[in-house]
Amino acid sequence: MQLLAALWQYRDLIYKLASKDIKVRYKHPLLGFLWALLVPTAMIGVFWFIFSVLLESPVQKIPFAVYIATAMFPWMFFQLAVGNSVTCVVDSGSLIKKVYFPRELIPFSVIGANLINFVLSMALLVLFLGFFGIEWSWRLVILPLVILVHLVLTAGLALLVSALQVEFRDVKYIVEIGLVLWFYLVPVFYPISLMEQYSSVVLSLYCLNPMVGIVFLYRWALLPGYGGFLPEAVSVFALTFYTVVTSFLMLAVGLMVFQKRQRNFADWI
Amino acid sequence: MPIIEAIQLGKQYQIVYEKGALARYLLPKFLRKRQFGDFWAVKEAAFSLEPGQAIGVIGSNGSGKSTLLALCAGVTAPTAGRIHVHGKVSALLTLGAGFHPELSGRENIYLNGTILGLTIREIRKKMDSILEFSGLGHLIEAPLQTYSTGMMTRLGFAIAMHAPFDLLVIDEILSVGDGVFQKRCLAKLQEFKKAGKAFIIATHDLETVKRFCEKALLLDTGRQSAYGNAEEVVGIYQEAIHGGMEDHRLSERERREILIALKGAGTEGNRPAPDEIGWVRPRARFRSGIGKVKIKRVYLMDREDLEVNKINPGDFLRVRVEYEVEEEVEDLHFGIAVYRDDGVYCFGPNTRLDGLPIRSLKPGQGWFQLTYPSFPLLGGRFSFSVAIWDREESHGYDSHHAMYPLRIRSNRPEYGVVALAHRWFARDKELAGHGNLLLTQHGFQQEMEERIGRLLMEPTTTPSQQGIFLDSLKIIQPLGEGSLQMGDDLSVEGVFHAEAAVEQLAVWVGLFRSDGILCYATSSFNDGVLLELKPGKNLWSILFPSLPLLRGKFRVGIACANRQQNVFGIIPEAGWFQMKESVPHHGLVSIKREWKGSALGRHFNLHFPARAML
Repeated sequence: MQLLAALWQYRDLIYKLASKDIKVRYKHPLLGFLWALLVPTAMIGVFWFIFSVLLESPVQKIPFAVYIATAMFPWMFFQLAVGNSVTCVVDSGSLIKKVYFPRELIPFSVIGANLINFVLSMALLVLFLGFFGIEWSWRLVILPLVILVHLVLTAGLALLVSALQVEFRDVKYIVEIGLVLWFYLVPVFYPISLMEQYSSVVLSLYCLNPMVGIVFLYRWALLPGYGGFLPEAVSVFALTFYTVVTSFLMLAVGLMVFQKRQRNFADWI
Repeated sequence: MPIIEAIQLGKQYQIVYEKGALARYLLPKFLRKRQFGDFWAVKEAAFSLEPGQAIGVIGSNGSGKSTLLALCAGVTAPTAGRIHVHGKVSALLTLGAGFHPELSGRENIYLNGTILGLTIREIRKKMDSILEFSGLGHLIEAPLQTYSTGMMTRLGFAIAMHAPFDLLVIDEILSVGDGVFQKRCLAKLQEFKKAGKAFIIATHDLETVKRFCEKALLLDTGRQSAYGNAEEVVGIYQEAIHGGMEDHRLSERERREILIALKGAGTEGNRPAPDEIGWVRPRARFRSGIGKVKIKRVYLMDREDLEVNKINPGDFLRVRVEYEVEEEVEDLHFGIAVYRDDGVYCFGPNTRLDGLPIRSLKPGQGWFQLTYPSFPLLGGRFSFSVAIWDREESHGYDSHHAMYPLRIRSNRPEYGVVALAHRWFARDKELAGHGNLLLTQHGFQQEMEERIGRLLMEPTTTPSQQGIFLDSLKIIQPLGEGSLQMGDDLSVEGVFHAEAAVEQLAVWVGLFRSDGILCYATSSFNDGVLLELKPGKNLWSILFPSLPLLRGKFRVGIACANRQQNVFGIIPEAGWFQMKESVPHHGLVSIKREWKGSALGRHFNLHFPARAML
């Protein structure tokens, strides 16, 4: 509660820190902020060319490019936000040593800066759905909720790794490797049903990975009729439930670790 | 109700080197490369402050001021004790926290303002007032990287003055900026104070403390050594600074020995030659430099890498310096000098002269350290200077002059600046110590000065000691007159002519530089050597192997003393010798050392060849 109050008090700081990141990022390129739109558009184009023109889709009914893009954008956001967060507290050393403000704001602003790019990408993707012959459905309504759960998970992990990095500088490399491994544990290029061949224990462990549920939910919201790829043992409801619980658990752990360690940030940096 | 109250406040730091904290958890003890030590940056500080009051925190560098302020500002958590704050604390530990060089001045006002706790709406409302205070005019739209340091200071202060606070913690930032701006800032702070705001200010400017603060708190190596009325505490501090000088006044005994030479001191004159810059330091601690590289912290450490401020002669000593490079600099070197507090420049090696030039430093953090396996300076108060120089040494990037104090406590009956190894001989036989060292091994010997004659001693204490005369004195220099090089052996041979047998005579020998500084004096008695003079000529000598004195002209003074250590015969100018050296090191004596550092050739250690070792 105290944290929420503090966050509210410093809400403008998150905005300013995030917008500073964005401003600095797009200040020098000639096309400036246009890149935030051009990059995802180009990526959708590349996905289309490779996965719909050159390759044949292993998933029925849905163009492969869309299938990839719906998972790729959320994953890239997650990867960038967590990856950038790892060193953000250490990098803000000069600030931390000199001024007091809730330290959580530092990873939050990093997530915020990446969130803006991500939301733009998703908006473009929704616009391009028609191009691939997919109609918008009522399910789009839950998209903001999915993003919220996704944010909760990202924030939890970002808090955890950025706090640990201060004291243990090896965390950065562990996270780097971890994210590569994690990517293959998320059904971006393959359908979840692929996991059916393994035992139910493996399957339920797999579904505990919150990114599996989040990617599923993004697809579920964006692609009407999607849902048939789930293994029979896993229901939509159960997967959603797991995902929400594990995401909030991640946030709780992240907050706890961060809170406990932030007292000594200034001493370790 | 006090706005801030500290009770038994303490902050302990753990000193951890390169490998960071994980090593502590994962590696077994013997695998850990470095020792971990703890030290208290602040210990048992206690104070309280009412609204409308100000405390000045004073003390020499490294006394814990910044740590105390960081504790007050909530930037770091105390290890011991408690700190109660009632109200909003804002801290100016640096100006313009979070400034981004690529953004415009106006955008940075928003950024820095929100960091200081303002909302965007409030900033918008106060924008005109901030702009006016900063006096930047239309330049506010230019990117910050085009600003001068002064402009950034003004902007930072202008923003800070508009941020909300009940207690403002200020660390040494009033000293930047020109006089006019400083006055304006102080006037503004006075205004706030009248309005009931409280201040905690750390500064070296004692006048500001006296004028602006009601209370003052004096820190000495982390301990609160005085707290109370500002005038009084400043007085105590000033006394302590100047008291350091008094402290080095010679003891009665030391004075007596120094008489050996001061009486009728050398004909060479007492002033250093004009080209010997830096022989004597001005008695001030100050910091200067043009920036680009900043010295962040300097530690004096013992063998366990724990911070020390007192050692004994011959102890291990390491000076570790951490610096931050703000922009890339080329062709520079590091220097660490030590002065005795009465102004004697003892030794000031730098990496260039030691053959470790640094081609360039990239922006970022770095460190270097100078290790003395055995630091031979004799008792007294000393200060270390640390500097990062450009090639010409015309302007240092950052220079901390005489800011790091070290006390050396010596119980040994040796006097002067540095302990010199030596052996006593009589009739070619070593009187105490190890083995026989032939005096003839020095190559061709040459007398630099031979004093024949009967230099009469002063009135004697006992009749039996009358009638000892210095028959001759030779100063043997292996490479010929005036060519003694650092690291050569020096032998002083004397012949006493006695009219009757004398038992238990002690010889005093002192080496003085031409400007009158006593380098080293000792008596044979201290080394357990007493001469037995027979009627007639008696030869004795003292050998200084590998004499480490640096360039200059040196005088040898000798005296005799009886068993009770009553000096009765003094020859202040028994002889002269000249030291030459190929490397123009600064100071009086060269000390065996080892440099190490992040920019010094991939961290390799450097040991010096035998000649330069001592």
